[in-house]
Amino acid sequence: MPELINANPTIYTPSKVSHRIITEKEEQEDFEDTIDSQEVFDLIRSISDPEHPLTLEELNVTQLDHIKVDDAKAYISIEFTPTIPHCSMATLIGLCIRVRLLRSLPERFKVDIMVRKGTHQSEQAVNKQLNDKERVAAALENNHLLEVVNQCLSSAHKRGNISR
Amino acid sequence: MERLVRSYMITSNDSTQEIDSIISSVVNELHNGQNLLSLVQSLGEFLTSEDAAIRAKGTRLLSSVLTECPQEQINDSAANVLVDFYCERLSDTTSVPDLIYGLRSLLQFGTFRDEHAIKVSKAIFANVNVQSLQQIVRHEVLQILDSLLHDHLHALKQLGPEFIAGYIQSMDGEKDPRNLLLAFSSIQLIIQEFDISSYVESLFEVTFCYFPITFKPPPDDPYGITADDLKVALRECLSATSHFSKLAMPLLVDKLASSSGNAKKDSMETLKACAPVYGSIAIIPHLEVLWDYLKDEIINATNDSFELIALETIQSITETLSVDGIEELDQLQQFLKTIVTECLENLKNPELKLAKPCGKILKYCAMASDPACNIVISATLKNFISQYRTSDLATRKKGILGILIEFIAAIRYRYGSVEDVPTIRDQGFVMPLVTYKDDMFEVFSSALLGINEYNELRLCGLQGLHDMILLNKFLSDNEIGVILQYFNKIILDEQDQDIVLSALKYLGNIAHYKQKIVLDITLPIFVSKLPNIGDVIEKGSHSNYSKILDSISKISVEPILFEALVPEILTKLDNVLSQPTLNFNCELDQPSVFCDLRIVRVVAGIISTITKSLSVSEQTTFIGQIFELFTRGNTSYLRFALPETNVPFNPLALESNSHQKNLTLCFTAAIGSIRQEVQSSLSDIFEFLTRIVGICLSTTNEIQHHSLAQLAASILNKWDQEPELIQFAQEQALGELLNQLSSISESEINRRKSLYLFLWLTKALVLRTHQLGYDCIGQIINLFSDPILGKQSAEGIGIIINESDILNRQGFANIKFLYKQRLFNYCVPIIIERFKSSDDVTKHNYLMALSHLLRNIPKQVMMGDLPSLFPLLIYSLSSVDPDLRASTIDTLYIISFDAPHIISEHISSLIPLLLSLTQMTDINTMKVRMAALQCLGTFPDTIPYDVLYPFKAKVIKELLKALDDKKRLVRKEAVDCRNKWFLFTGLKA
Repeated sequence: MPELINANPTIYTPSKVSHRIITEKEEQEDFEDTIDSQEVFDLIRSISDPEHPLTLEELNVTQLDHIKVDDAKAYISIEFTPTIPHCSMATLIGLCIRVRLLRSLPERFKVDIMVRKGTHQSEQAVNKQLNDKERVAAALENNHLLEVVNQCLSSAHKRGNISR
Repeated sequence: MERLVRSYMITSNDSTQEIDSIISSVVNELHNGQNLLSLVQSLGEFLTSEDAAIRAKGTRLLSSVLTECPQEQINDSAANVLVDFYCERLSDTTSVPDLIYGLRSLLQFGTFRDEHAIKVSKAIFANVNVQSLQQIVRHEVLQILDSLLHDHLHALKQLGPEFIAGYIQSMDGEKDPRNLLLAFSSIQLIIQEFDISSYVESLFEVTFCYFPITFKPPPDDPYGITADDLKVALRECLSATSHFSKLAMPLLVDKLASSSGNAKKDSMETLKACAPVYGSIAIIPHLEVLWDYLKDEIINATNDSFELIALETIQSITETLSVDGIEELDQLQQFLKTIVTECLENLKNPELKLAKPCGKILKYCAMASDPACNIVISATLKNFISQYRTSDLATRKKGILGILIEFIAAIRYRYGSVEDVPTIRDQGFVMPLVTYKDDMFEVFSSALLGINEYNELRLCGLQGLHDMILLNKFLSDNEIGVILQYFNKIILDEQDQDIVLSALKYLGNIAHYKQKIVLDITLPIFVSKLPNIGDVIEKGSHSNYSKILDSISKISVEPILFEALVPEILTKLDNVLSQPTLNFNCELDQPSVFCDLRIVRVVAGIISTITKSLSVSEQTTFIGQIFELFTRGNTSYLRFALPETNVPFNPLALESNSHQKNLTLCFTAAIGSIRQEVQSSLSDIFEFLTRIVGICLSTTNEIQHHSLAQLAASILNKWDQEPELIQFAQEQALGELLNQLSSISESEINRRKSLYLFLWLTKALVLRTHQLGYDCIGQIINLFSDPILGKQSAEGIGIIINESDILNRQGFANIKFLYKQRLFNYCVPIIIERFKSSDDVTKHNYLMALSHLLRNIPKQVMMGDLPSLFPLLIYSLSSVDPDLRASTIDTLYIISFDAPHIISEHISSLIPLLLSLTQMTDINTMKVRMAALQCLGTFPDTIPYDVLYPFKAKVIKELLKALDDKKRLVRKEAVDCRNKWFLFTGLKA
């Protein structure tokens, strides 16, 4: 087995309060529900970590508070926190988030995905890669990489409902 | 005989039928007194022929006959002769398969004795080169040896080394799984029964060479042998003797390092099985390496089953080291010291990932034996408790409690739980946890009672206290009482639902084992929180009461608690009844329980439940009183006093007020739940039914109308007098009622009421599959084209096929097996036939009716008609009725699992249709859009890749719009559906 980058990460028990309870308005035909940060968080919280059979939420890589959404202006910004500052998986994790959102959000949104300030050695390089359309597209043409991304995304639909 | 033998010899080998008939003729002759000797004599010339093929053929006849030969033909001397003959012949290579065949039959005879067994095995070992034979013959040989081992073990033991060597030679090189399974089981017997000391090495070689088993059964394997069967059989050989230990241990340890998961797992499982047999001496030299590998397997586990077997292997090793003896105990201590040190290192930060697996390792070590448990607990527990007390980090505290809970589980495994019957075994031990009881109690309690604490930590506190209660002879009753008081407080005062629900669940569990303490501590507190006579019930306190009642119901499943509770609750109910609120007239500002429709419905439900559980005679008495009350206004049977009033009680009268009429629900609940024989004893059912029908049609109270229609249906359904029933159905239902509802001169409201009653009467007949019921159904289908009643009659099919509260098996209704199928089979051809020629509105009614049928029948019934129904389903997708659209999509959803081939056939028309249903329009309600997205989302799972692939790009593109749906719930389905299509790459997950 190859050495893991971070063999012993901290595990966080996801807060149970963070689940959306369906409101009456959401069940009404005419009411318009805007896309908010909780909805975006639900999209990415259960993506699997590439190294551990754990979700990004359980590793505190993604947090609700670090997602800003403005539906009217169609702008979303997401910050994620690598488990350790020298984590070489950061780009891959960011790519998974990017791909998940490309597949799940309307096209009108502009999405910025950033490493949270001060949590990674090569913050800028990672940010640059994740927000460059061409580089993301090029990465996804690599079949092996795409397979790894798809693998990480295969748990994304659970939206925090994970029983351990 | 002579003739039979000759004709056998000239028969071609291919004509099995002819051969079989000759053999049975020979066997017949033997049964009819002919001697086996005559057969042998007739065969003589062939058995001694120069031509090997002829000798073999002759032998085959003799062997075949032996399989069916009567026992008495083979006396002692015949057995002697035959055994000698067969054994000597074994050197004749060509005849061997036929000889082996005959030998197997010979073993079955009572005259086959120990000396024969010796002779046969010697002859086989000396003359037969087993591995040069065909699989099936090899199997026969192994079977012979196996039978000999089982039936003549004692004799074969005299052969000793000769037999072992012979057996090894016979199976050496065997590759067929069927044969190996047999060989492994024989070898296990040899190892257990024979003195194998001089053959250890060869026996080991001939078995271990198969380790690890890599066999994969062919796809359509007819023999059903799995890799696991072989693994288990081989493992039983390897773990059958400690003689193997020196040879096996290095190899097994070696295989642990294998890169193949299969080999690793098999090694661990084999080590687990072998350790106790091989003993500590064999294990000790390898301990260090074993620990390294197993630890790695647990800490880096990617697969739960690997983790578990590694843990169990550690447990087995620990158990093996725990035998008596100073030196061994020393080894145990050393081994555990390594483990404990390493685990403690990782447990310094119990909130990190590795804490959990390390906690598990310690748990399994503690489970292994009493000394191991003592060592682990005394080396670690103090540490954890002081770490807990000095830590401020909630996640860390939670991690520590998680490990303590693992320890409690280990203790429960080792020393038993409250549910076990005490055995002598656990009397001599002192549970190692006892020293730390107060500490544990304190730690868990403080975690639970910290009000502003992290929820997860409090939940751990709750679980720890609960788990301690379940330990055998650990906590005193007083201590349990204190814990229950904590639980009570949580349940009554706590706001957080997660904690309350867990507390309730645990309390229910504790109530099962500690009824007495729960009875003393918890029940009185709960009951005292319910209102007493004269209590002013404050607004908003209702939810609190229902919470308490809910809690009480959780713990009262236990008989003792239930018995104690019932009088208390009845007293509370009497309190309610004694209040002046029982007026059924509901005048002005006098609120009465009988005027609240919700309460009336609940009371009706209770009446129905009670009636169903009564015996015939009890029901008869009860129904008599109900009739007195409802038809004569005789209130003397009521157990409570009604207030003085000048309004008579007569709910069925036309002039009564609406609140009284609502009480018809109670009447129906009682009469509709009686047994068939009780109904038969009623006088003049015809008249009663006619009266009910009359009130039902004339009343202006809708609840009464519905209730009486159902009551009429119940009576008709249980009616056992066929002529009267037919008369009623024809005159009333198909006669008057049908006239009334079809008559254009009647008012719309009267026609609708008549139809409603007609639908229920039809249901009554259809449930008992009465022929007239189908006539009624025909009439209902005719009404589909009626401009006023069309829709109601189509919906009526739903009433008829849906389950109902009143006409069901529990309520003694006459319900025939497969009535739904019969209804379906009656309706569907008519619907398909008439659908084509009807106008759009009527078409819609047909589709509605069909959708009701489809939703209520078992899926297998529908499958046969699917091809002809499918066009109708597709048509329904374009209906203007959103409900019909949604329910049709749901049907397609089910079909895509049960009959994906039909979906595949229509895929090119279905996908564009479903995609259009995901778009926001007035007709595509949320429900429709969500159903369409769910249905599209199943296709990647159910439809073959080659069929679906051409649509992938289109679907993914079209679904972009649905991602921007204004409803969040729809967006969620759109996201799931679209991502499924993205992950749909033809690769198996």
